[in-house]
Amino acid sequence: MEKFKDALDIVGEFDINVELEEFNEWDSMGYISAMSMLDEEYGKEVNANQLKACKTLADLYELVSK
Amino acid sequence: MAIGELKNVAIKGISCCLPDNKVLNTDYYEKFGKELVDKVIKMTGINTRYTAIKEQCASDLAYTAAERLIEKLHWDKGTIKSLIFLTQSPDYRKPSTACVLQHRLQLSEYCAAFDVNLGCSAFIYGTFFGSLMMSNNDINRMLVLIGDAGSINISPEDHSSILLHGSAGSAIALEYDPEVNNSIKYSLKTDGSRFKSLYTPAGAFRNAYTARKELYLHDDGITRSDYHNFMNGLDIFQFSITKVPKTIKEFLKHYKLENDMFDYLLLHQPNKFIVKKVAQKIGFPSEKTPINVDKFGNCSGSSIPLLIVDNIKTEAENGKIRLLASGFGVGLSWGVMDLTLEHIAIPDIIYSNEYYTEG
Repeated sequence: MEKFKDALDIVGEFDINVELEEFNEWDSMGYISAMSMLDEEYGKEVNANQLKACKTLADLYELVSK
Repeated sequence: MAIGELKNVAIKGISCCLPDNKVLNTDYYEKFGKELVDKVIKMTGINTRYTAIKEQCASDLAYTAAERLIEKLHWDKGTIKSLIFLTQSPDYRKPSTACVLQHRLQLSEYCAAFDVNLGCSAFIYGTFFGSLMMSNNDINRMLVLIGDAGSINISPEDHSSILLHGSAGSAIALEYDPEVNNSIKYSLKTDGSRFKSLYTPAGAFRNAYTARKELYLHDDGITRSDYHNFMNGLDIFQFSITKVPKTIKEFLKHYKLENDMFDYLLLHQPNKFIVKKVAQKIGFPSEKTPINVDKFGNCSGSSIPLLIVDNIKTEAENGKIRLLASGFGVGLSWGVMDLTLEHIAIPDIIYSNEYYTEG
């Protein structure tokens, strides 16, 4: 959660089921930041489609834990 | 595997020419809004770029770079037996722009000339081609020219492309030399399955009857025509930070090379973020990974020549430096190279708006 907030430069509190679309930051550049963060922090190489398929933060979390 | 070693070739000189037309990304505040532009600048690190003026083609930049290099090397033009031009912005659909350049440069008829349609990987492929062509010793001097001036290929409404691209031309002089000890090692790769990640749908033969000339809103939210550049930024980014470092590591392992055997890592410069990321993933120190995308933008195949001419000129002119280089992008096409520069000729960067008036 914190890593996600850092990567996208988001402030504020929210829950893991938050819809990613609610964030203005979840745009093409946000995807890049997230992709880079997943790669760096979790050694997880996700592709563009996998990332775009994530609707909530929980989906993103699941992608990393797979 | 397209992985190998070429001997008896010396790089004698490298030069670059940019349009004398500096553009500041902050000039686009009014057009795209300050917030968006600042975000792009922050993500890419690109502050300024040099873009071709309307009448100017990639070949004009490459021509000027070539003339200045030939002059600096004091080469007799009659001794240049080949000229290849790597570009994705040719003068015409036919003939090869290399033929026009052979004429403009007044090279002899005993000169093999042709174009190669490659972009960001052009420096690696061009050096490979050139070195290969000289292995017989019948061609003992040649010019590898690279250039792209993509401004007309980019929609004026496309912030995702327009703020990133710069125009540039470069020239590399190669000479057959049996005394050279350092071989040029290379690895070349292609993933054509992703050709649509970075492409221009119209302007050639495919889609000729269906292409739309007018600007219209595409699914990705960008307004452009079918004659404009399309980029799936996320896909290209993912490719750049995974496949590229993987290939570099594979190359080093194949030849039992270590990072510390190289003086510099020269990477194609799409944006600051990718350059840093690739260097970091292969464990190359950032102080030995020069960056110039902040000043010039993404200059396609001329990014690596620009690093040599702008960042390590003195060392390449006065000593011997070993470089690990990688160019990657449109195709998708990418390559890695181990090359050594020793006392090469490097004219200062040329800024010019000259163009061919007989075209």
